[in-house]
Amino acid sequence: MFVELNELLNASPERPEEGKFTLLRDTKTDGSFLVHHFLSFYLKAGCKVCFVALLQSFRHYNIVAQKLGVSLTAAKERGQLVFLEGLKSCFDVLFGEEQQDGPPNPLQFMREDGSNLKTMYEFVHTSLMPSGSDSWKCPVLLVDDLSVLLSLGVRPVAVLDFIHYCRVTVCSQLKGNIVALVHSSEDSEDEENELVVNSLCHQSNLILWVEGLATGFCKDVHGQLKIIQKGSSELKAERNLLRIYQYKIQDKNVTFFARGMSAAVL
Amino acid sequence: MLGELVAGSVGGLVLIQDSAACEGHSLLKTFVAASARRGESVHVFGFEIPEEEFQAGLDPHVTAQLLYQDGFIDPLRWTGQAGGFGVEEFSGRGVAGCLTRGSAGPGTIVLDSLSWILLHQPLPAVCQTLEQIPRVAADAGWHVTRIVALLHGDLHPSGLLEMLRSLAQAVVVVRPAPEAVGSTGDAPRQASLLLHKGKRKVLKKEEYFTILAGFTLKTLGEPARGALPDEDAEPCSVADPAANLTFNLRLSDAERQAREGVPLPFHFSAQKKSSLLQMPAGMGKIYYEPDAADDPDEEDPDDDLDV
Amino acid sequence: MAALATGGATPSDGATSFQRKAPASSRLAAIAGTRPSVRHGQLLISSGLPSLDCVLGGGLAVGTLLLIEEDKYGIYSNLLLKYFLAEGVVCGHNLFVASAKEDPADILKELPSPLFDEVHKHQLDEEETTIKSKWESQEPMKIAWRYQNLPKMEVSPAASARFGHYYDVSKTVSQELFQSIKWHRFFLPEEISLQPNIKTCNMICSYTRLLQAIQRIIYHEGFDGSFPQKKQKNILRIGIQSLGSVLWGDDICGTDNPEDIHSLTKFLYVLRGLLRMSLSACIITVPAHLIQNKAIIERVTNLSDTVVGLESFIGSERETNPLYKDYHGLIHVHQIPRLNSLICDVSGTKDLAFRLKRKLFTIERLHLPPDLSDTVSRSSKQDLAESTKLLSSECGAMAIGKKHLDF
Repeated sequence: MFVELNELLNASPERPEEGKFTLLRDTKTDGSFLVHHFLSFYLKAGCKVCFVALLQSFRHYNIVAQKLGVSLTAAKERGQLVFLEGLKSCFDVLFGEEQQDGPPNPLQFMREDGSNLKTMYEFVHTSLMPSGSDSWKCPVLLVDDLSVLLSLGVRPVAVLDFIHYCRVTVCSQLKGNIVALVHSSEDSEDEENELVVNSLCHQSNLILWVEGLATGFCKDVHGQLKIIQKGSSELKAERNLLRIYQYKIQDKNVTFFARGMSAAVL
Repeated sequence: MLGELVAGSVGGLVLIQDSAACEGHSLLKTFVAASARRGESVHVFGFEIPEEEFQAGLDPHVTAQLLYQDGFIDPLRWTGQAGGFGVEEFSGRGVAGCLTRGSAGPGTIVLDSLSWILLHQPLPAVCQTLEQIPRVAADAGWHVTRIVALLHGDLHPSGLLEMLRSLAQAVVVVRPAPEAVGSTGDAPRQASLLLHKGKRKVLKKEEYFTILAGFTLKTLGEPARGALPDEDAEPCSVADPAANLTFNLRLSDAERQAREGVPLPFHFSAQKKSSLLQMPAGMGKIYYEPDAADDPDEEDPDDDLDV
Repeated sequence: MAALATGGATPSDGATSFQRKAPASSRLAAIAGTRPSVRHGQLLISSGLPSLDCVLGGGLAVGTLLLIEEDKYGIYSNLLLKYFLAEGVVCGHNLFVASAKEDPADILKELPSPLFDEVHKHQLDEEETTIKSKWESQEPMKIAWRYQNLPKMEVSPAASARFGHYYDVSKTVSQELFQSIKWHRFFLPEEISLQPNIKTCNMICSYTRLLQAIQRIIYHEGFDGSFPQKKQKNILRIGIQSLGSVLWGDDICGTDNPEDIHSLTKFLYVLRGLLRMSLSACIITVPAHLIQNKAIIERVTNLSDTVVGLESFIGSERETNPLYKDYHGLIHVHQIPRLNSLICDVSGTKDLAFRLKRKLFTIERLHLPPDLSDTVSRSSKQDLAESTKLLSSECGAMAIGKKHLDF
């Protein structure tokens, strides 16, 4: 959890927002630090978290989370965190025997033609449905990252349907939050990915858009973060609130500053 | 002219095309509010947002007129809950079936959004349905005056957009207005209108507008014509840096000879050199351990110099 | 003698030695040819090219995937593959070589021979004997004369347990060295003739077959870290040549709309999963310039850990460009992984070039040739200035930089 980002977003783990869909989008740089931020943020906030981790191993997320002051293993044991490790599960789907009993593997779609992600949605649904015993705050779904699904042969509309149903269940019915990361770039030829990204931009309440600097690599400024706060659409149309900051990633923290105000430049 | 459009001057299919940079949802709700205030029944087929969110901000007497067909909650029939509107049901007959639940009299159908349907049904089927709805409804005794549909322009190929625009009676493309327009508080937008008037006339117009509380429209005038901002041409003058120097840049032959005549500070006589080069016994030795950037190749590194 | 006076520890030739302390890693790294990374604690192995290790943040992390985008004729990418395998031979790692074109045994036969320190020592002795005669015969130095009778280079004798070695591409590795290691082969034509084609999980059968072969070795030879093994742990180096080419049965090269757009990405995903839970590292060369659909490249990049692109000057107009006369190609580091950490080890230099000399392949920072405009043989200054403009627009991502200012 990066304190400075919390200040920028006016959020605090004491009172997490409810019913919001946050889209993390990265262009020409790596936006995974935001995933680590939200993972530690919601665990500290006492939310029940379902983390669909498709890109990295549990070990990786756990070590980084420890640097940010959260233990994923402990959270898993308490039942606060449900961790889907895609790199491991894909294995059972491909090489394991088909098990007849028990719930189907969330990555079952890899065996099929990728036309829908119903099994994955059902996994999220059962993970986040409140049971009588636990007393966690609002449920949270975290996905890192959606673009991987396209690489695994899932059609873009199927990805959108998956998110649609997650929005119905998590945001609308359970009053929880969704945070999902996607890659994108303007000059990309990946039309399927662009469709997913544009469509999610329409649906999201908040977009955190990380971009590499247009002028190239810099040692002290790693990129810029665009915060696009969608108008509430409650009373009247509001202009989308756009703020731009630059950031520098450090070992255990990320610092944000106004454009051109890096300590190294001044 | 956008005002007239909202006030119901045009029937048939009205498209609102938006993009991620400028949402058209509020304009859609403005159409809904205007229709409801005229006393028409409004059928909303919502796939993108939950019902509460759609109704948020609308007057209570507007929401009373509103019939929401919930396509958000379970459009693909995954959860198997009863109720709601499945995307499969989106056909002339299916839509007309929903209408019977409403009151008679003129009605408006609102699609939120057409893009969502287009991602799940092939284009020809969707277009045919759009054509069929008024006819099938008329057979059942309901009068549908217009269909207002929201379309996310950035999700579809341009050919598909052209196709839909050709079917529509009116198309409104919304985009953010330039900074200078309106006061900052009320989020001005620019609308490009394309209107079929009667059978023979087509109107094109640009307008600025904003949407006030309670979803009423306020137009802010038209953009000035032909006032395209000039490309600011920068005059680039190349100054000669060597023009006004206080010192001499070049040497004459005599000066060059004089310079070469000066003995350099590290020049010693051969005698002194050899005495300095005598190695004392037990002198330290430097061992060298190559590292990553090193190059143990014995090629002469200076072979590219022309010496 | 002075040697006796300075104590028994000094070498008998009377020299006191200041040796750099051996890196602390020797204690921690139980496996030969590895060292733990300072940044993320993951074990690193050398790519076989110390200058490449340097660019990639110290080496290749165990459990990760290095993807190399081949140069146009596949010359230098194959060289990098061989360096990677040769380093495995020298360190005693196990090898797994997969190819659809060349027989893996042939690839291994052509591995470059290591330049051991004995060679240096030998040179050193030679130099010392000749040094006296040189002193007389050589014309006296004018400026740096104080260095006149110092030997050229002295290498510490105890540096052989280093991380990363140098190789002589003009010689091939000796058979005895090669016989001491264990290696596995995967030659697609052989494998296909063994079993009938089956397509599982919508993946091309050659990829499924390859995954099964890698998985078998990892599980049976004890490279998976999941349960303790009795024998000494070792590293498995996996090298896959020209993955995605037509010979693998993939149609992503050549056509714009391939039928099987997801096979390669699926393969990479599962392979990544396999690597992450085992003591292995993988290098894959991919003919990226042949893949027409750039979306596939973007996805492949996202699914790999480290991505390096090679751009050779052979046959391109840059071959004759005076700016690049010292180099044989450019190397683009597209991606460095973030492992167990928020940050990654990015080297400050983005403009890198490589050159292949008689014996050695090196990666260097790209710099302009010296401007000695007084001599006649130089290409005209004008020419150079033109190409410098070219360089700045290409390498520094400055294309948008003219009007845009970040700070």
